[in-house]
Amino acid sequence: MSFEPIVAFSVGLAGVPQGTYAIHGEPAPRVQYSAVTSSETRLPEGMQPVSLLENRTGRLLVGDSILRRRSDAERTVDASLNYIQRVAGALPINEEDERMVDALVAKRIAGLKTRPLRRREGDDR
Amino acid sequence: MATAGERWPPVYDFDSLIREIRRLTTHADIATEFYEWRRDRSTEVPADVCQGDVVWLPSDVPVILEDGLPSAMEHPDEAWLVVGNTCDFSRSLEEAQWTQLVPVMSIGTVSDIDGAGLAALRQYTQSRRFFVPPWSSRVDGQVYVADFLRPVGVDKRALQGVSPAGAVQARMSRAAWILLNACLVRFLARDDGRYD
Repeated sequence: MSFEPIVAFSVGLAGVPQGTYAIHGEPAPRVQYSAVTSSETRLPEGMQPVSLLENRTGRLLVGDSILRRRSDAERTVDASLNYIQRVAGALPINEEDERMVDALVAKRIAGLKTRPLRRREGDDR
Repeated sequence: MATAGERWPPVYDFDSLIREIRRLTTHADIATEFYEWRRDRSTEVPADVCQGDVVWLPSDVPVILEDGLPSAMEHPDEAWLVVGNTCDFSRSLEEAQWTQLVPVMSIGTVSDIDGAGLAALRQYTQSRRFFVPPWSSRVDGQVYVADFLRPVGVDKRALQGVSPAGAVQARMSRAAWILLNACLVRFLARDDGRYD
């Protein structure tokens, strides 16, 4: 049977490792929200937009918090890579277009003057 | 108008982010949706600077040339795109004195550039330059790109002191800012395709 940690949201424990508190007998967790934005639903503290860009965001974040499968750094790396791949997929590069625009810009830059700036003292180049 | 204190809400719904990018890159007339504010169409002047703003700053482009020596490249267009973080403009000078700009340069008129070149620019199918639609009637008919290859560190105060009316010439819409953000990510951190 697969574990569905998204259930944690339904009991108000988003982003909070429930097991840790139960084991150590600490006060019941209370979800607090960050001030990332005031115009939309705020994010639970500790949840960063970059992490939430992951496709199965909430499930993975809460699951990681409870099961401690990945460190914050690992999760951030995974989410960032996922984000980059998605952006690259939405904005495909055409190498021929790249060359064409390179040529247009190079032609323009070729006509511009360049002047030296002040050198470091003692620089004989 | 968005301010430096609260630029845009975070983009955390990936599907909507992709939809925004695709909608703008396939738009028949991208310029109509690109800016939420233009100086030439408003008497209101923003008091802040945000990532994605087109700013006016009459300066050459400082670069280090092939001989390793500092030089300044002529920049007759005097336009720049702010690529530094919006939140840095809210921070004190002690905390964040600098921001980053890239030069916005004309590469010709619309009639100078063939249809394939214009399509490549408007659909953002190349990564090193960012197509900047005309932000003022003064530059209509010209084709402008922001050159990601020549970023410049700038003291934030340079943008405040450039003119009594401020440096900002145009401010992007949310969709355009998402597109810029995606293009910066693609330029700086594009993957190598091994997971395609």
